[in-house]
Amino acid sequence: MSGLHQGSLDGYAAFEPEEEDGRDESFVILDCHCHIASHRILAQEFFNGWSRTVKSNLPFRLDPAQEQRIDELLFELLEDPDCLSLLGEMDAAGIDQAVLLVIDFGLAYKNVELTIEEIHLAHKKLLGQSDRFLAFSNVDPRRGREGLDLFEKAVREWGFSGMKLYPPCGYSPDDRSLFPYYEICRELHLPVLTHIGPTTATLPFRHTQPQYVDDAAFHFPEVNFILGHAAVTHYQDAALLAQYRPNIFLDLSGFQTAINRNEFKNIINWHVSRGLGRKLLFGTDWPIHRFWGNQRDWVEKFTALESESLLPKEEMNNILGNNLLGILPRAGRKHAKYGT
Amino acid sequence: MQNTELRPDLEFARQTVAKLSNKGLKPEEIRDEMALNQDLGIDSLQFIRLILELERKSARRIFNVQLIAQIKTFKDLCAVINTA
Repeated sequence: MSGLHQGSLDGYAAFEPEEEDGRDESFVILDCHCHIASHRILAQEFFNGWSRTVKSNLPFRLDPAQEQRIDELLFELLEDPDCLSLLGEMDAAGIDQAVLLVIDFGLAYKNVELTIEEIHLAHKKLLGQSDRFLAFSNVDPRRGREGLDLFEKAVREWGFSGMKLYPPCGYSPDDRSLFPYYEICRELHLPVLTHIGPTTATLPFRHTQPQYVDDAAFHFPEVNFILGHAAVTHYQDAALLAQYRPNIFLDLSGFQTAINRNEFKNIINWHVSRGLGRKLLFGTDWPIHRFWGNQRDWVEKFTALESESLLPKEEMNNILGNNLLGILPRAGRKHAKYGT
Repeated sequence: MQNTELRPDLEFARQTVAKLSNKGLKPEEIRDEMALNQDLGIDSLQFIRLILELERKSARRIFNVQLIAQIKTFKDLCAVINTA
């Protein structure tokens, strides 16, 4: 699965596979949505709210000892700061590359252990250690000029290949303070991945609906916007946007929950029937769903859609990797190879 | 393979799986190769309940995240309990 190709930089252009040694060289698996699993990088308050949500969703009562035990088990999900477990699971699953997304919690929460620059440097270090990773930068736009400078350094000098937004931290994707960031993304052909839908109980959900992306996507038609989780969360509104905005894509991370609820096949049918096979991106949201399965499980459950005739092979390959390859900057593509 | 009916903690696991399964199975109808999710109808939320009940009954820590992700079948569950 090595030997990926330099394709068009036009975001919506079709990826053109080449044949080599009789293999289908277009087959590549890219996970567009992962995070470094680290207590120092994912804020404690984020974790606390997430744990409260998980516990409140259980259909049975917990005694204090059981609540404590769930906290402990969920806390274990975040014990892979060097991404070695992630790499092992990527190997087992056949995932060629994963995009590590920075989240800047520094203004939304007090007492975040690392500065946003230190968090970027932790990602930069991983980029230097393995070509299996890509990274998207995220700086809260309320950080002003200093924040913009950090973002620019990350994408121009440190090898970051996209921008991440986390609106639950208190800003909207259509906020004008983000437009200078989008200008840089336009210049460097960088995609922007923004979180869609509910999240931890300790952050507001305002600005997490798909329509908040529309103004930015309208003003920056050359910038490709990826709506994180939106292939399975608020997916009907998101699909409408993706149908009518060529520069809007939907990421599938969180599909694990839809599988657990037996909703996923209907959702995929919804997208396929609207011709959105080229707008969907495979993602797992590592490490959030580790509790329910490993990366190989998720790849297998997703690729089973092909054997169940829900997705034709070409669309499967596009969703697994080619769609993301088509919107990554050239530097992000050249690293893609499997088995290093 | 270990006979899962001989050890009290494995027998408790069998009973608990039967109780949480939505398939209406009796404990003795649960076979080792049955998948907890697909065959026994134990969804992700009931799976949490299962591991909490097993740990409470045995009064010890049995599971961790790496092990949990490997448990697909009743046999896998018994293997984790055995090695804890």
